[in-house]
Amino acid sequence: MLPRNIICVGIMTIVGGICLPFICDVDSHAESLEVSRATDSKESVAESRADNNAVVVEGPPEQSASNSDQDEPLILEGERLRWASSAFASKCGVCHDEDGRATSLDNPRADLVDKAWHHGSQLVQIEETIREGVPDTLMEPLEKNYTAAEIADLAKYVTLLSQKMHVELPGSERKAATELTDTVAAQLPPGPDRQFREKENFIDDYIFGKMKAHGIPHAPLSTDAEFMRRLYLDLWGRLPDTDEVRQFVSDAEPDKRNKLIDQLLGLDFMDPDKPGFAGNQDDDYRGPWLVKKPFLNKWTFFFSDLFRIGGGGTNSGPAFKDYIHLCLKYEIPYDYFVRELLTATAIGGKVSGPAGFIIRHKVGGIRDADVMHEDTCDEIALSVSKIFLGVNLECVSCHDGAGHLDNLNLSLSKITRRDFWQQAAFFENIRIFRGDPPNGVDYVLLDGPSLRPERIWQGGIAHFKFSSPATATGGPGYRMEAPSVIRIPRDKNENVYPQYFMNGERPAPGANSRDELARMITSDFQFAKATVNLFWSKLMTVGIVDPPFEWDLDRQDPENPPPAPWTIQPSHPELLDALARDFQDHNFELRYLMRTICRSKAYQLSSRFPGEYEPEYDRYYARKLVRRLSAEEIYDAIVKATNVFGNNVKFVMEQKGMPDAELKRFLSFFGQSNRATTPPDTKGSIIQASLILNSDLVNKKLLASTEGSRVNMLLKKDPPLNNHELVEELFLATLSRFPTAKEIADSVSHVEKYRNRGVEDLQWALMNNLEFIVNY
Amino acid sequence: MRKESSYAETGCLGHSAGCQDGSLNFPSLTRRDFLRLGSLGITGYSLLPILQPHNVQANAKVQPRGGAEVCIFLFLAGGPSQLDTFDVKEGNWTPQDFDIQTIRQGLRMPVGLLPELSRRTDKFSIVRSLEAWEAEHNRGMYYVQAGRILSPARLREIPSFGSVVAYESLQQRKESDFLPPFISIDMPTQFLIGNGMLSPEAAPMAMFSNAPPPFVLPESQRASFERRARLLKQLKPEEYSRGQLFGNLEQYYQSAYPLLNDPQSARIFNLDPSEKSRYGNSGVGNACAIARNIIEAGAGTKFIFISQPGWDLHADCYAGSADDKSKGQYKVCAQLDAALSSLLDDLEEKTDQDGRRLIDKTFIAAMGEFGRTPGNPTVNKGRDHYRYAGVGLFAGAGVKSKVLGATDEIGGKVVDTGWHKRRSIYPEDIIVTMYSALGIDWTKTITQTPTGRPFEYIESISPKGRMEFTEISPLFS
Repeated sequence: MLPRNIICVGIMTIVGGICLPFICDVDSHAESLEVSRATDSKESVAESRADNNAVVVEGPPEQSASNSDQDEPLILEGERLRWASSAFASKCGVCHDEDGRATSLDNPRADLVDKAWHHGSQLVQIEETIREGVPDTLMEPLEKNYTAAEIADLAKYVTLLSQKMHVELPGSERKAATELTDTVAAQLPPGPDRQFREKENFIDDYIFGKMKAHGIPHAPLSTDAEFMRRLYLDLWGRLPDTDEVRQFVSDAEPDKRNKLIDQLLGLDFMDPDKPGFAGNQDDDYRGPWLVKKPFLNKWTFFFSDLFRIGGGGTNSGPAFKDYIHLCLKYEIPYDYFVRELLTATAIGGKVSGPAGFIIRHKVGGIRDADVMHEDTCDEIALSVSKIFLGVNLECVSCHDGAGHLDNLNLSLSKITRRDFWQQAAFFENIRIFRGDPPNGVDYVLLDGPSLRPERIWQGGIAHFKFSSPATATGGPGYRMEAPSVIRIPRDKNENVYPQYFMNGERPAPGANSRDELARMITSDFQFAKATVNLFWSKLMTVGIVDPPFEWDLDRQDPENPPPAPWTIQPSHPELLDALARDFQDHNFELRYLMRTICRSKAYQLSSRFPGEYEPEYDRYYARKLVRRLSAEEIYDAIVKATNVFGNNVKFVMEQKGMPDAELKRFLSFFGQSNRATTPPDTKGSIIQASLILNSDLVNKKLLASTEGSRVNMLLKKDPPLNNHELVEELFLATLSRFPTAKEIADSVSHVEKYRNRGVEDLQWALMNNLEFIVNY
Repeated sequence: MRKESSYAETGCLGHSAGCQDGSLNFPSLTRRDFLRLGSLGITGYSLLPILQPHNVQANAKVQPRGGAEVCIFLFLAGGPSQLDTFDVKEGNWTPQDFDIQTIRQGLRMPVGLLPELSRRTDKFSIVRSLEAWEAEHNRGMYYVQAGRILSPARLREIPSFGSVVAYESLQQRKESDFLPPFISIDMPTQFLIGNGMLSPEAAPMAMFSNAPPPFVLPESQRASFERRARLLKQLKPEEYSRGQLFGNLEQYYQSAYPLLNDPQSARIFNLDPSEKSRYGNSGVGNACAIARNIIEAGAGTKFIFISQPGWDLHADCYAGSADDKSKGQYKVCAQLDAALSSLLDDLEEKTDQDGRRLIDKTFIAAMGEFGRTPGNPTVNKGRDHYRYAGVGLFAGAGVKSKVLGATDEIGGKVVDTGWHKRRSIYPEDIIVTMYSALGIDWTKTITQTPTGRPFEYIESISPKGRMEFTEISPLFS
């Protein structure tokens, strides 16, 4: 029996389980009462702090700091609250941050949230501390700086602050995005402060409507070059050609942005009068329509990462990836696609792609052929609820939510481990084999009783007896007494049957439980919401619910808000519902969803913001939030910009060909997910910087002497380009924009001085520009 | 509100000046500004830079031993078989050419497998009473690096011991230090635990011995690199390059420049063929040679983590022979033998600018994540994971030449714990020993973590309940 303050035992699956970090809190030690009198005004700091990651929690009232001794309730609001928070930030912020935590971990006594109250917790005591300071510390006396009333307000503010506990969910993108956007936007070339006249669709109504209501300013529209680069990266994972940029920027057609969106999505009809009627290498045909291969490749890649195809050691990927590619090509509605994945059966390697989804989750025993049936059901259930419903059941797969998640997720704190087993039990009737014989991959996925290994103990070591049909002691069902290799044992006294954790529905008698689950999930409105939110988070950098796989279902409805101090989780709940309904009404078509989002002016805002910008505005999507490109996008950008491709692999996003060791290292240094134990990572590192500054992989592609490289081709042009034109071409090829006057001057003078070397240097410098590795 | 930062002008926010009088003049900074100043972590999940040079609260009075300035941790990835290496046992499974000889009273070594190390047993100590808490690779690797059980809840914030060492060393970094404090060689990045919640300077710089590191600038390219760097600086916007508030990704470029600019980088990270050959022409050999160079350079690296794969011999562990060292136990042992013996020789021979032998300021530990099944091999003619016995090798920084602990005849059960406690030695004890040798107080706790749970350098809770972990003092006496 583990001591109480041990955090729950880790879950690291052997065959590529989901290893997302999450918080399981054993001690519900958060006792704090948010006595926020937040008004709707955007200036109320307390309200603006309640973003969807801040969880302010309720606790036993006797532990709250000063209220018990006061006759009147602790009120600080309006002007005085604003003053106090601003004074606190400016005067006290060096040591006490805006969340009440100490700003340095070497100064723990400055923590106002830990309830230590080194100098007393009563209001009068706090006032005294502020007045007199604390000797031998950096807390100076402030009685000369503030009046008695002001000090009283500050003391109240401190008390309120001490009662809040902010927990940022790991995986949240918002803060990181804000910081990166500040950095990148500061160094972008200035652009016009172009405002749009008309809103495009309902997305704009909600986004700009809310900003207007709260008096939030927003960024100008992106320039054409910004928009084009962003759209190409978002929809194709690739940079545009230089000609395309020139043509688009100079095009006078007023509707050109919408046309570009349709073109990249492959929604433009074939026009015999248009140049390129025969199609180019990027095109494929589906009936009378052109489909765009880069689009298909990028989104196949997206799903490959999402479903973690290929991680886990076996090469069962190709058939599944091809299947996804086809589904995208033929615009199979997303709900149909998901039902296929959940209900697939297969015998053989290439026959059935969709079975790859379930088979990928096979948890093996000591010998890979052994299937840990219940553990496999658990892993499938976790993937399904996370990806298709946005609900992360990992914590409750080991223990009840109550007593652990009470401060983190209201809905999950009410879910029990039994609920989880019952969710996993929908998959109780599957039989999986996956093997890697020398000539390809076999796999079998059928409905039917699973063969199970038996665990035999010999001298302190567990051996698994390989079960064959002849000697199998297997049987149907999700058995509580079955051993687990990755979780604490199940409760043998529980008797479980399939039951949908969202609403308690059970499969109809006699029906196939996987078919039933597929129906339940895809007809659940949450499915639509989670899906639109996921794609929104990809296109808008931060989800309306952020992070996209940590939904708290009890905090979604503004008409039925959760009890204070919980706040509504989505930043725009009505928009989310509208998007979900629209998605459902349009047959769950992904291209339609992307088109709707990309056409909105909200999507097309710039990341630049002339003037004073407050980080709180980001929650309104007041500007484009910058994200670092993924490892694959960075490599693909390098090869596209330099036009020098690798031997086996052209674009990594195409997932064709085996990357060589150098490429694999490059990608892993840039945080590529191995699709087994580590998710994709966009943290920076010295090696990353070094790789673009100095690696052979990059340097060789820059050389004028490398046949076919961008530099080589530009220098060989006949008639020859002048230096100005050379510089412009390189900017267009690498950064997908025109250079500014100063950039032209600096670059041309360098090229004049150093000639061919100078041209190489210029492309090098452009690739080492921060703009190159971000999507802004 | 974005406030003007006077960090650049006043250094440590004016702490060094004007602290004593009543008129403190702090710049008005919000936490966000602090994050921008020091944090390189894009996720914003890291803690804030150290403002004051004294340390966080210690819980007990311990006296770290000190003496070491660098630690090399040689991770024998996969789990070495204790009974085929440093706790050698002879059974009917033992090949003849293992050539097991008695080196001295209480110490037998497989000379056929580890000839060079067998000749140098006076340079290191062996501990044979190790036990592990985990028997699976992922969890075992985690435990060895983190010194605690893997908890998904804290996965993101828990730093590895290397990062703790690096973090502790940041205060003493000199202007001339251009190497990162924590370097990892050959550990696959997905298994390498990083800085967690500690500041990003404590993150490991991961490199691989089989590929030229990208930050080594060949001399022939120096001129063009400088020419390019000038153009780059020119093209970047003015207000940005003034260094007002560093961006996240930008700071990595700033850190990379010193590496690229210093002509020593090439000498440290490039090996010539004769050296590679002396170190055994293997990954771990190259890694050890590079580690020697790093230590010799004395450029700020405090922790080097080297991973040698290949020990996970579930099958055919006795394949190969003394003449065919391309497989099985012969292969990994030959690699380790050449690498470690050359490393010990070189560190002993070389001195720093104060005349101190490098070996005396380098603490070396070599171990795996667990041991292997004892006695007869399995049906696959190999050995499987086994946590109830294991070996570790220690050298440098005052470590004597001891053999601590013993197991039974088949290498399965610890019968002599080797020290004053009645329990076996666990990874935590080894980490304590390492912290102690490096002069780090291992009883420290960081209370302000992102999850709010205190981070103890060494947890007092083990999978077996409350346990007191201490340094393995017999190693030094």
